[in-house]
Amino acid sequence: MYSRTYKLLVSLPPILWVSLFLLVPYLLMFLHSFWTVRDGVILHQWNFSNYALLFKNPLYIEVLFRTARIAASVTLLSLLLGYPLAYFLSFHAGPRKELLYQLVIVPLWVSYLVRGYAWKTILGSDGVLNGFLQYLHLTHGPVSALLYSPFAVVLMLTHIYTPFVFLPIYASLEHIPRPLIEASQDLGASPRKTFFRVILPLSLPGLLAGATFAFVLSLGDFLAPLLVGGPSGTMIANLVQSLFGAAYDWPLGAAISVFILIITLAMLSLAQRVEKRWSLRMSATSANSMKRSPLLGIYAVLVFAFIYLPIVVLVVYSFNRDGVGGFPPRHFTFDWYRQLFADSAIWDSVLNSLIVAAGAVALSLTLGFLAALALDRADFPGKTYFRRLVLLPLILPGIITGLSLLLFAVRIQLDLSLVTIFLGHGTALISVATTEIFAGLQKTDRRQEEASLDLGATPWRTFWLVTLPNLKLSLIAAALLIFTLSMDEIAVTFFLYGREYTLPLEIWGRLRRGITPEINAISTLILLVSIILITVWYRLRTRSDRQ
Amino acid sequence: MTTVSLKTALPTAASSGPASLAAGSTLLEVRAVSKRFGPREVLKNLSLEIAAGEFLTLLGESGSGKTTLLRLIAGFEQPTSGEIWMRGSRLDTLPPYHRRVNTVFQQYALFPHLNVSENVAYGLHAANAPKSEIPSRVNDALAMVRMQEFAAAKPTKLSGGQQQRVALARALVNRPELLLLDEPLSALDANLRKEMQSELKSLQREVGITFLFVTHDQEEAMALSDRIALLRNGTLEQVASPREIYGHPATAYTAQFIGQTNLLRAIIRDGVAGCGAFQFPAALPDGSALFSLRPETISIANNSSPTKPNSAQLSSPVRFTATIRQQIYSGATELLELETDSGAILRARIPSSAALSGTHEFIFSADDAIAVHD
Repeated sequence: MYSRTYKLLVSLPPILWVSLFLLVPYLLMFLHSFWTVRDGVILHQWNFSNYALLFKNPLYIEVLFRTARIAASVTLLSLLLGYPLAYFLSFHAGPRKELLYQLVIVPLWVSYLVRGYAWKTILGSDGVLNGFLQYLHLTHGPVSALLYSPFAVVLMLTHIYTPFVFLPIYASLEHIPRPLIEASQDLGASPRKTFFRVILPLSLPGLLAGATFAFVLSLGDFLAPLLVGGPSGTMIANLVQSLFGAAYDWPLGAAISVFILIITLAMLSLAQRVEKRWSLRMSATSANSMKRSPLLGIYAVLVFAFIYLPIVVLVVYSFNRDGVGGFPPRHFTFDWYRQLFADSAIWDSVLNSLIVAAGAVALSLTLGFLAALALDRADFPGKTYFRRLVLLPLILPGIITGLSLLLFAVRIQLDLSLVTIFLGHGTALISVATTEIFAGLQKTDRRQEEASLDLGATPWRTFWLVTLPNLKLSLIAAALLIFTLSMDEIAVTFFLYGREYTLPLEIWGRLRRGITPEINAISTLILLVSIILITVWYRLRTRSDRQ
Repeated sequence: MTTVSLKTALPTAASSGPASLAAGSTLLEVRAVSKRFGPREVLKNLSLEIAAGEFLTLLGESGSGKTTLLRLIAGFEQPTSGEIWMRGSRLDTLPPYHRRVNTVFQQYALFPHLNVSENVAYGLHAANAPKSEIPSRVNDALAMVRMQEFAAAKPTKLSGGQQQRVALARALVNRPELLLLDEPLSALDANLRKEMQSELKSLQREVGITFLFVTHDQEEAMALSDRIALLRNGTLEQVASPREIYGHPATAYTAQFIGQTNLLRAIIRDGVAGCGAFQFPAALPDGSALFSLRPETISIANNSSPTKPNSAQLSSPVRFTATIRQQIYSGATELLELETDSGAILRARIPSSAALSGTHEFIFSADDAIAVHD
């Protein structure tokens, strides 16, 4: 029903853009990993020495193992927190289910940096937790082992990825037809047996997806170690970051990046394969020893506390006259907000962020919309590869996308500035726009377009009068989401900024210098704005679901 | 000239006492059960007895409470008040997995991650049946529904009818005392449905297990059941055998829900029911009464009609003249829409003949006019 011209018009721009600004940068990264550097000059001499070095240097090996350990711990802990929470919401939350669900997903989109900062203020030696322990006379001096340790990194990442793990598990639990559970009970299986033989096997795909996300995203994280990890908490992505920075060995950094990339892709495809295998064969006679806890409700409350407590602490201390740390907070004040509003550097960076976010929304929404249309209605060679490429920034650690774009910018001699940040955001977030709009397209009724054509409207008019209005809600929802994500983005931005800072970069810079309640104040404001935007986004999305 | 015997023609509505119970000992007793969901009372003080070995059908419109009653017996819902007893002990206090009751679900609810034989073995594993026994019992159950060759298949690979058989085997392999079937045939197409009906009936005779069957299809209920319990808005309208419930409906609702009928509003005076165009003897006290007259009991009082009952053979014949307004052909029979001289509309079902029109004389037996409650 769609003409050649139509298909060409919708598929060509995103294909060209994504090839130039994603495929070429990723390839550049790949090429760099086979080159060498001598006296500060990159030589195009092909060799494998970078990869060899990665596996020979004992320091790198140690960091590799630590990274694997941290990522595995984060995965396990997120599962232990996320699965029971999802189970509770899906089966025991009753009429409060919808509200609780929103409560879980809101923190998912609340600034990574803000949440990381919250942990820093809690765990520090003058931090809230130390203050609290001394207040209870459990300890006498400050315990300094809390912050700057692998433990702190695990804690922070678990906090960030628990909602991530929760989502797919909850979705898979919600998809289990309830008659299956009744059938199991009807056939004489106790709740415990029903859980292990029906609910758990049927929720495994979700569990696996959540675990993979948590593992892969922790694996490539470099900000948490910088924030709360200290030297003993260094992870593999930190090596990359320092090699691209002070150490100036881009080829070696590229090799490690490629290594992270390969592990990430391998994990994802492995998870997909296992998921397929699992859905085919599941033993019906597995022995089971775990018991369903009657304390599930209390457990769920504790998980919620874990998710929200750092955020609450952050907000509370933004009103504390005596600054961040110590317990309890004693004197209420607006001083920090007053100071914040007089701080022109912050507001300059806010303006920069707004400019970048607005540009990113315009760029990624346009290209994402076309890409979604292309994926939905055009057939072209390499379509699956195109889809995977578009979505890659969504699943890859930000550092890889950021560095690839940096290599590309250097190659085409583009000075780093707000423009490079805008290009980075706009390109990386095409993935989000495409997913959101594609989901909206799948829900629309194509017969409406056929009716329009049948009634004599040209394809162009049909697009304006039928296709676009039908997608209005999806487009607005996608725009809001992209805006929020761009305002908050730091992992990609980190490698693309010039002289002008975005808000997260400004906050990051100040964090390096030490913590002040002013950051609590700006974090609280960011929190407020993101919660509002995300709530609106969620409402729009559920409304478009209902239509 | 005999009149309608009202003692037998007019059973009290919603009677379900032991008198109306089929032969055999009582298996299940529902005692004054009510169920509310928020402000909505779905079952209202309902009592019902099910005899061991019988095929009882819960029939009713959607929303009448039939599925809720089934779920109460299965244990998926708790009664708001009232009790359920099975073989002399309380059933409603037990969780579903401790009841010797199994269910065949509406959409079958086969476990998608288990194959056919694992699905059937599920209940045996749950009951910790001896490991050595399980394969042969599963095999027997699959043989019973002729599904042995699909033992290793996943449920998603099966057709609706095949899934239906597996669901039956999965429930029956546990040898329940009572099998609950929640509209099990509603997802099948018409032909397969007829086939499964007769299979179900013979299967029930074969295994001798009590079946409690839920449907909204009155023909299905008539074809399968030993007794039908007709539900309306959470109460029992009538519980009786298919013949009894069709031949002697207790209420106007029953008469209209099961089959088609003409409802005649009549004024009784001195043992005669006056109904506008005609009157007939009725041993009822003076006042207003309602009668159900099945369309097939009315025939044309015309000697040329080949299968017409001779008026001499009819006991207490009632004659009236009416104009044929419409003739709806349906194969062996056809339905006539009649307008009597007084303007009342009646429907008559007669053996198919040539096209008819104009005014004719019609006849029915006063015995076939069944007094019903409103």
